[in-house]
Amino acid sequence: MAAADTTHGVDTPTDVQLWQKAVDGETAAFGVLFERHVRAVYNACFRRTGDWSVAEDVTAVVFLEAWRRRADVRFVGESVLPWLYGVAANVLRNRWRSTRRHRAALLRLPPPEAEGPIDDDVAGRLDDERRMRDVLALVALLSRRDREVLEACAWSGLSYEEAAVALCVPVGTVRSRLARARKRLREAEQHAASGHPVPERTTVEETKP
Amino acid sequence: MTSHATPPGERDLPAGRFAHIKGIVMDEVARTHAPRRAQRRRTVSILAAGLLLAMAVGAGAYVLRPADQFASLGCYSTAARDADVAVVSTDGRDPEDVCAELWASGEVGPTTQVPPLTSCVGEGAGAIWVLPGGRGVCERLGLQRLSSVAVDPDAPSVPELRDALIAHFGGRECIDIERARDIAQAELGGRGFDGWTVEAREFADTDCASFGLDVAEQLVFIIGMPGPDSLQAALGQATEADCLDAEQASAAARQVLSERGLDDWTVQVEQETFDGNQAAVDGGIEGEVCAQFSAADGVVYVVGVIFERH
Repeated sequence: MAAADTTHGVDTPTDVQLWQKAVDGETAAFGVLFERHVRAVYNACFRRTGDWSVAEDVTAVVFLEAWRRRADVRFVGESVLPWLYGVAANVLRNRWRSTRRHRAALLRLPPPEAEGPIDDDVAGRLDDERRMRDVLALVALLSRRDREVLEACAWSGLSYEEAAVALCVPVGTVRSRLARARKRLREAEQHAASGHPVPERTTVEETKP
Repeated sequence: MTSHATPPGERDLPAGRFAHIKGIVMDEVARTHAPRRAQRRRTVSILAAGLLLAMAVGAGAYVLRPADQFASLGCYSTAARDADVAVVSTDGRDPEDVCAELWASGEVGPTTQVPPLTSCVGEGAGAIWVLPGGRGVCERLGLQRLSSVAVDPDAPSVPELRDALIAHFGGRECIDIERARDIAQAELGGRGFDGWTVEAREFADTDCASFGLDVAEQLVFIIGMPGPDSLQAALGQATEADCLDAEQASAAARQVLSERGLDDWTVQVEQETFDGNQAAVDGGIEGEVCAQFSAADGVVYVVGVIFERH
């Protein structure tokens, strides 16, 4: 998590400080926050969508949404990243709506093919997408709420407290959902190993998140 | 974590995409940057306009008489029917003084300089509209000037009646319909509202009473709000924490119905409410379109409503 950094003897502004500067009119500070967290957000979006191209668009929407909702920001310690994960979860949950809201901005984003060959391993990205689709098929056995906790804690490395902020639920709920998700996945793997079909998910969700 | 549920390793955004995405984000930040307080004011005004509209189109429009009988007024930012408007309750003061204060504090228009203000009798809802502009501004919008309408100095005070009813119905206690009738009758009789009547509307067995006023019809109407055990309350819980789209809301409604054994009920999405409100949001109204439920006669209706996002 990003926080005050005094490496090389130079104080690096915290997320809180940058956010405050951005809101106060120093908009370049938001650019620093973007650079600091875009990789984490981008990868979280990929893990939800299984598609690197889609994850790019969603990443843009997440930061546009974060700015639009800047009055609602929450920090864990000095870090805004858990809250950004929460924004991402909300965007992905209501993707059609979020995308429509920022349609004008997204139209200015050229299609990937217009930018020539990707400067990375194309085959590797395709392989990632295949792998991720398999993972998503497996976790589709979980309820949406359990899946979001699994993504936040197990995949994005958030602590229980950070996941609680990201998902707007109590810490105890994070623990119980994660335990349930892991148990369910273990059972699914055991069924798969035994050659038996994986049973359908029974909807057992809290009445309130 | 099981091995099959382990995602691939992380990657950076491709360099070209990074630059483009950062570019559009920073363009948007620069374009929309404004002191937050000013944005909030505007949001409040827009939402307040929605409230005024709700009053106008509700089953029992909150119709007001001129002069000291009005219970709320709208301070318009421009002399136009579709202007941003701040709606406020009043304490009996001159409506133009009330709006002048709001103008001076920056709550209404783009400037804190107070323009000439004129009070008109609003259309439909009958609320007082205070418009920027001098003589003739009401007439130009097809409205009557407030000062041209006769006033009955002995009329009982509608704001006082309103406040008394709020004191009864605004608490946590669930008041049933019979008791609500008695309360309203007692308040009308005790305050000299001769000729007024009490009428119950849309009240289900599990509802708790709330009220509305129709001054033109001299009517207190009792309306039902969902009580804690009602289907409506259970549906409301589903939308309490999350902003649901139509599809999510339909699924949530079906689950609530199933849990209550109401398998013969149907769920009907009013898609045009989602589309229309989304168009309003896309057009600049701040907020997002979230599902709300309305249950009646074996049907749960799913409608899209604009909410301020917090």
